[in-house]
Amino acid sequence: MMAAKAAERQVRVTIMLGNSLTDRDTLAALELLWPESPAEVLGLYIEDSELLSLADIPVVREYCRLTQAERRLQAVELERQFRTQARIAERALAEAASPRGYPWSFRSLRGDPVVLLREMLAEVDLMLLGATAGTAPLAGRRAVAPARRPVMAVFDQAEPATRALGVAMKMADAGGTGLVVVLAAARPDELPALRERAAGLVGERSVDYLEVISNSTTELLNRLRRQVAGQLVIGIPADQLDDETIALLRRRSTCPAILVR
Amino acid sequence: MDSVKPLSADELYRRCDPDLFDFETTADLEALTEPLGQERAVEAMQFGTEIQAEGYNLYVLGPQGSGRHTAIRRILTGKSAASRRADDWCYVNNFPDPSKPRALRLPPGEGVILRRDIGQLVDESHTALTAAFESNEYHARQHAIEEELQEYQENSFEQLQAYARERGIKVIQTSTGVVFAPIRGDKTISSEEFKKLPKDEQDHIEAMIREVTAEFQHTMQSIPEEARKMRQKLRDLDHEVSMLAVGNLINQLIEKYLALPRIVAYLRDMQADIVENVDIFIKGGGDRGTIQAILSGGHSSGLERGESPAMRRYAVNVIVSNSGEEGAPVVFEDHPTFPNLIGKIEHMSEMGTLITNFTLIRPGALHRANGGYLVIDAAKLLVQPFAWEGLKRALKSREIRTQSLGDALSLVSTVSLEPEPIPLNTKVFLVGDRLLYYLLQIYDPEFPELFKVAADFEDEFERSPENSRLFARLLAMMASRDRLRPLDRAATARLIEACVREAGDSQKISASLMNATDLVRESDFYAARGGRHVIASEDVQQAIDARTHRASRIRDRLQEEILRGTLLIDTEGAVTGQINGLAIAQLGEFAFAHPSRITARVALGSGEVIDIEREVELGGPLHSKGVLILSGYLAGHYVIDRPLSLSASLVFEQTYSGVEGDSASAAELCALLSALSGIPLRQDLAVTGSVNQHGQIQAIGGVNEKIEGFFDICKQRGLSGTQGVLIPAANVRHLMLHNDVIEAVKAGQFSVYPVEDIDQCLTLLTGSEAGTAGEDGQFAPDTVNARVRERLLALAEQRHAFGTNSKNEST
Repeated sequence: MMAAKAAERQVRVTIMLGNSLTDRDTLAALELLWPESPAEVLGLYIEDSELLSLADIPVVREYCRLTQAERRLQAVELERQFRTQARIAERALAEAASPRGYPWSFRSLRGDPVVLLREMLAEVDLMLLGATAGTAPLAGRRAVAPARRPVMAVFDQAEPATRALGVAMKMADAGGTGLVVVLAAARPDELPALRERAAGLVGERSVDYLEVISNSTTELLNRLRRQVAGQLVIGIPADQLDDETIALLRRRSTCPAILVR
Repeated sequence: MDSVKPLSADELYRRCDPDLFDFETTADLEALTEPLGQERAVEAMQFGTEIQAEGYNLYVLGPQGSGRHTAIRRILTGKSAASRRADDWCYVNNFPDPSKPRALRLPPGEGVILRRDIGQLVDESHTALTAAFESNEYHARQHAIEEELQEYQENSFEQLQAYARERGIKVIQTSTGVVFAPIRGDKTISSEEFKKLPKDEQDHIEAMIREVTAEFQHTMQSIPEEARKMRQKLRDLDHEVSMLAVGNLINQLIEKYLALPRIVAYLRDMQADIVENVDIFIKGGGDRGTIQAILSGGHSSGLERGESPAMRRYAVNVIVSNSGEEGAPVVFEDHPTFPNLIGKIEHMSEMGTLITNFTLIRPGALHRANGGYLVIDAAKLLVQPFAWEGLKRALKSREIRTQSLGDALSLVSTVSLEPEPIPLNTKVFLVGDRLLYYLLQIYDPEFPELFKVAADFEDEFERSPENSRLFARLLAMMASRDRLRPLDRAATARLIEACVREAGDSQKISASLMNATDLVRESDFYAARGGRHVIASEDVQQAIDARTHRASRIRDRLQEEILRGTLLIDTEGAVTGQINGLAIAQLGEFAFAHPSRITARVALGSGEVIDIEREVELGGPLHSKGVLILSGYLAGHYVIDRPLSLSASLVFEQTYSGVEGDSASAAELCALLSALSGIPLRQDLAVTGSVNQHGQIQAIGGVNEKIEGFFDICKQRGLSGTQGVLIPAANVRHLMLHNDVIEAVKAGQFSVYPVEDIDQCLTLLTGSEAGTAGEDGQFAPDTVNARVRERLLALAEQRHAFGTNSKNEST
């Protein structure tokens, strides 16, 4: 028992922060994962080196999406902005983790975000990515807390899928929400076996199944975008985490994504 | 002239014979609940309550304690039972304009049912809407709409990226916007690399970035429009889901209230409002704070804290509920302030701001009495600021427009309401005294329009055997109602005599039920003290004596001062130009009289009789009138052919406060004639009565108290047997004197003389013939009147001589 608990404490989680609009949902997902002092959490903020390299080019401007106002991209200004965002992210993590007693740390890295994320995923058990989609808020929409939406788990032939489903079940239990298992296969004839495996894992639990035929993770993610979910749990081996998948996960997901290695 | 005979003892008191009654005690009698002797007033009230025309409200006028309220209550109880129950009234939210709450009328008793129904509806709507908006179906559709916009934005962005790539530009998303960066191959050009590029290439890149920027701006401009379409789709979705969730619930209620079109209309409006404001039903989505509610223009609170915003928004404020009533409402409002009559709009403080809403509308007496009867004390109403105006406005407009007094006077500068007026159909009874009624008639032009029926209660009623028996039943009712001992026949008779004395007329019984009730209660007290189970006549007498004793301190002190000689009153001997008048004093409920010395002095003058009281402004107008009459009598009776050439002064000696009334004018005339004739007047007699210009003695008030006032002084000094009081003959029927006076008269120790003219007074007071005038206008020699005429002629001669001498001297 003690050994099991010790093993659980060793779970390493990286949570990528830096978007103040969605960080709260991402941190909420962390709470669902471990309601009681659990994993070793590393908060991560990535300073995009590509942006810094563009600074001080006279013709390069940054345009605000909301107001369309333009401004020059200056290295000093970018540095300041990165520091501010990192500070906000660290504070948000501290507020979420400290009361729960999580051992946590925070790092701010500079480089290519895709490369850095891939490297980090290789080192941890889980990675939480905040949603970055949804640029223009739809005023007047009925706000339904993400916690009330079901947890969606992708279950495919990949090795981490079983762990991903386990994580998703845990989150659904903690949040008291439903669980949607996405059976993802390249061919339709693979689906029954997948379902059988999944059913064996979920046991008596009430689960909704969603079958998706896709040949790649990117295609799968595109197919899932219209499904309602509070959190998306997907098992991905680190070596399969390509640039396009990461970009899609960051840009196209409207809910936090939990990547399980 | 025949000498005036003193009254016999029988004429001084009209007893009530106990044998008139055929019961042992009043417990044997059937209690009388009808107002006794008030047929005229009762008929007026019956008329006023039945006539339905506008303005036929009632003013019930009469003395205090005459049983007006009891009579009203009895009549209205009967009318109310025979009338239909009044409707219920509620105030509900007026969704388009919350500052003007909507009034709803419902059949009696259904107000609370509507409140319960709508409460249940709101409860069920909570459940239904929460379930609907948390359903997977709703989330899926909502998500699809959101994704539609997301896809649109992403597609637009991808198109922009393709557009940019064709121009060697990369679009990079940042946390706050986008950056357009030049690329070479797939890699962005760094700052250093850019600086090394030739100028024309740099210019080209800049131009490309401008093109991409323009395209970006074009793309971004289309997004708000697309977002607007999506929001509309979301609203449509919400509308559809809300209608599905609550439509059926509301339709069931509409079906139930189909016969009440205004309720149906409200329910339809409510349905539309729920759909528009579904947020307040969704847990976690709509529990808006007060400030937010105020900012959004709504009214947030009003009911108990802890109720949901939906409960508050759709509450039913039942201001009038007749669910437990039988018949039309009868409301006695004993504190008729403006808000207690018209209703009020309360405010509550939230975050230092006074706010209100339709649930804080409170009903007034007019609301509660709507469809029935409202009884108000007129004096209480008139002393309350703006209450009378408010009542008249409501009666005139026939609607109740609830408004806070502060708002009406623009004293309060805060959010308020203008509730929809409620039609008014109430019969108002104002209960007040006569003076108030006539003042209102004169000074308030709206009063006769609004109170067309006067129910005038009698002060007293005829003392007939039948009425005496009915009065006994009334006493039975009082004793029974107040759980007092019954009265035996003698006590009943004595109590009736006391009420006759109260009326001041031996042929009338006072209609003041309050006085009779108090006397029964006090008699019961003494019966209890005496260990009797039945009230006896001695208990009644003891109660009367004790009551007099409690109230008579001032009278006793006054009499003491007379007996000690501080106040000069003679009760024996004879004095010229001096007479005992009788003055009455009313101290609260207690009236008593005391003798007062009146003196007259005469001298040569130009014919004026000076009322010293008037000169020093201590005399009232009636007293002055009485004195002025004397001049007319002197001139007309004695010296019609000569100018009146005297200067006379008359005064009430040792009076230090005002004198009013003309009941001393006969005494004043006697004093004046004594001064003129030089014939002294008996001081063992006192005189009361007013006199007219022909010398006739006229009736006065308080005759019993006046006789007793002089008697008490004489008795305490020792009755001589010659003492007595001269009263107007017209007052004989008013006599109900105390027993000690009657006993003295029986014993020949005191006399009461009924006089009809001034000559009878003079004869009694001087012991000489007054003297009647012959055809030549001359009086018999040595009579009082002859001496008066002689003196007046002498004065006229002196005046004439004085005038002639003066003229000669001046020439």
